[in-house]
Amino acid sequence: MNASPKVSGLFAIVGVVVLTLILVVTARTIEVSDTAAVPANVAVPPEANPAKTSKTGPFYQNPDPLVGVAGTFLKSEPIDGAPDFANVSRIMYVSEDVRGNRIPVTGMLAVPSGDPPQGGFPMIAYGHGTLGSTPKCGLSSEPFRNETTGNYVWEAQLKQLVQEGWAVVATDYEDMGTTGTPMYLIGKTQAQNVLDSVRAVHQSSQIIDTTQTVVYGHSQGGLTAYATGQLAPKYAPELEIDGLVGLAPGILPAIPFALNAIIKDPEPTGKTSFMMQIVRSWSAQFPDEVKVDEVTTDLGRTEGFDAVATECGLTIKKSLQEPMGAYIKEPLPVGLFPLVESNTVPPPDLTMPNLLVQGMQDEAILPVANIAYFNYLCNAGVAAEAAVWQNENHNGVVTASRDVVNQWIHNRFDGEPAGNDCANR
Amino acid sequence: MLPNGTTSALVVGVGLLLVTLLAITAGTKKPDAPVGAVTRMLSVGFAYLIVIFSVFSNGGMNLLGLVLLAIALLIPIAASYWTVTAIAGPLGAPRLSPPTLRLLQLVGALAGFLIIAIQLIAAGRVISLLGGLNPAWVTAALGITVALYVLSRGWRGASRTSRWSLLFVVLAVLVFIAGIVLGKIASLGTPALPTQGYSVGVIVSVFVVVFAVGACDAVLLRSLRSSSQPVRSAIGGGALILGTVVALGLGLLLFFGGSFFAPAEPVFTVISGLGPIGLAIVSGLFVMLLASTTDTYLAATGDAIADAFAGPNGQAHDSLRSKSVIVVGVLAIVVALFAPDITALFALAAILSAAGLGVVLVHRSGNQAPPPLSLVIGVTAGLVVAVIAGLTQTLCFGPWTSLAVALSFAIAYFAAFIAKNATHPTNADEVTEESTVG
Repeated sequence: MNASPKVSGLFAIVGVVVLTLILVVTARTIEVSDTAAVPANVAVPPEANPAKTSKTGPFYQNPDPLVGVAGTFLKSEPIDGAPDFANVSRIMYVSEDVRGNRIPVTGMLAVPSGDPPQGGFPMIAYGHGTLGSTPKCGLSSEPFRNETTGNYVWEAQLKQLVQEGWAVVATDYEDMGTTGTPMYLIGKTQAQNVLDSVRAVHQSSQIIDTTQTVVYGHSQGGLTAYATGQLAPKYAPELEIDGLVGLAPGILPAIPFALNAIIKDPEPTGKTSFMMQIVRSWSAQFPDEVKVDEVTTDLGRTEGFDAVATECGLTIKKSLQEPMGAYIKEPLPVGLFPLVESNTVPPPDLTMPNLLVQGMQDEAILPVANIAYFNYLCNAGVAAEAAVWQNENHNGVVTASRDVVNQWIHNRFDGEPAGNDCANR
Repeated sequence: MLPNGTTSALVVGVGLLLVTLLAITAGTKKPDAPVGAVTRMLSVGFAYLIVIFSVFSNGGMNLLGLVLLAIALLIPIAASYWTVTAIAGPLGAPRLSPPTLRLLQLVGALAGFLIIAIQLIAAGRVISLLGGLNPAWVTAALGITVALYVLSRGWRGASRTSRWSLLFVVLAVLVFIAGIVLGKIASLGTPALPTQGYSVGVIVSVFVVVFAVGACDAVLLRSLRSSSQPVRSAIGGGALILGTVVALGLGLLLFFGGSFFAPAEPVFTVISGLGPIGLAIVSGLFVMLLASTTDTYLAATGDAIADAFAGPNGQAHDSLRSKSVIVVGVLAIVVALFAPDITALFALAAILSAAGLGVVLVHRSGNQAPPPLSLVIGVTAGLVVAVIAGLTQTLCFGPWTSLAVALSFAIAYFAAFIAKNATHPTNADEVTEESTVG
């Protein structure tokens, strides 16, 4: 205790070295898979992107009057062309829009063929990624016709989930089947549409295990998954949800210079399709906050809106060949940013197990924003899990992560405790 | 993107090693020079900033929040300057009787102990998120490292590491430039993301709490009491803190479009963009900053306890100082690990300081020893108010926190006043020794 400064100083240095070694040993590093990227043509349709619009028949007529509370099952009909291993039907149910108004929403229910296990089939509540934002882009209308949006989703994701032995209910979302107000990237609405799809299936089917549900979504649907997890205890507290998986969720950082920089990109970008859908939807859903004239150029209001109002998926992208600044005014109005936050960043009060899956070569969304969201959850004390692929892009990560994700879902259905990848736990 | 824990651990280790080397190679230059006092005040400002920022950024930080933050950071310096000039006097010519001065030092030491725990908590929380390190081990590593080199070189070593706080100034300038280049001045008036605002009760409680803690702050009192030019030291330190925080705050506000932490996700986006190496470097710099603050409080706390019980010099002082550093360091680590509530600990420090201040004010004249019971009664009253008001709510800062601090002060003051008047001036408690403790 009264050693000379030299001795005690040496002791301090040795102490620091030992402590550093302890820090190294106890550090947590989320494993980043650096396996070669999955080829784009694996397990997804030829172009790896949906393109064709779907025909919507009489099933999709909005009921008048609309009867029932949110979650009420309205009707269903089989979908032709389903493979032998699945019974697939389209459904219609009551849900709510962002302001709490009741709306009719359609979706698709796929159930494995054969006898259900005791208690019924566990169910995946699926939120789809960006397919477009018109009634012709819904996934439930023509999921078994090549290159439709529904077919893309079926081939890339839903089919293998059913083959795992799970039922899947996949909402179309508001205005993507039925007719309503354009809706795109509004977490609250998307979550309500998913939760009400689960309620509707629980009402209408006797072979679903109502105690086993996992929410799953990619891209726009990844946002849906997190928003659903956050909203479920308040909006649908009666539902027993075992966890959520968000693949490459469409979370936008509300940082003015960052979003304005994307608009200023001198090269044409696929993100223009997303931005035009956001502007068209939010200006319709939040007319007081988003004025079309303040956000769009003349070209944006004509060609831009035409493209997103009439086309789906890859076709929108192909229609918007100018740099984003030709369609969207820069800088974005200040009033837009609170909506960016409230619509695309679910508050960090999750209580259910959750898994974020991200490819770091993602060209459609900002991988950094999603890693940030993971840290945001951790900082708020949420037990969060993450799985990261260094070489995968937006779609490739879906295929690359399949085994990890499916095992994670099996673990939730088996009642195993979820993990926690947060370093600050 | 994601932090690499191993890289971060190594960089944090290097940071701790650099601070340790700087401390243990401290020369014989007088550590209490005015310039040293100014950089030390920046370290102190950083300690207060951690707490005040956590309050004012809860719900989002905007321009008003920055102004309030800047004011709140100046209050402790003003409060300690008041204590030095109006109550305690300079180091060489103290105005208080030795026992009263001891009491003031001990109260400062106890508050300092809580501030050390707060630094350790902040280290664990922030560096674990930034660098992917185990928070408990970060807390322990910082606490143990600082204790080891403070044991070796004491106040002299701690004063030398305060220079690292100048990193904070460099960082502030860089962030300010980034904000000017990337942001828009107009955004300060119309933030992209609205904040929740600040209630008067919270603002007042922050001001009250930092005044109480600052008035008894062991580092500030020692720096100002030992400075040959306390006015210049106080103004210089205040100006440095103000300039740094305003530059940093304005830079961040401009960068994030007029507000930040409203909510925190955009901030995390920028942090995540640093990449594993960037995150490791930021973690290393942050731990160095926190080390330079923690060591200053640990050294001052150890010295204050040794001064109070063993006098200012001699082998007994050195021995007690070493023991105090060990005990305070270990206890601070334990508190940081098992009671990790920054605002609650700081509110507790304020309640304690307020009671101490009440007793000291009663006994600022005369040689009578202040009765310890007065202090205990005052602190108890403050804590009772805090508990009655609901610990969590009260210690998150609000009107009840202000009331708890005020009651603690008032009851301790009156208890000491009654005890003083009830005691005969010639009884055995009277102290006749010279006022030489400092």
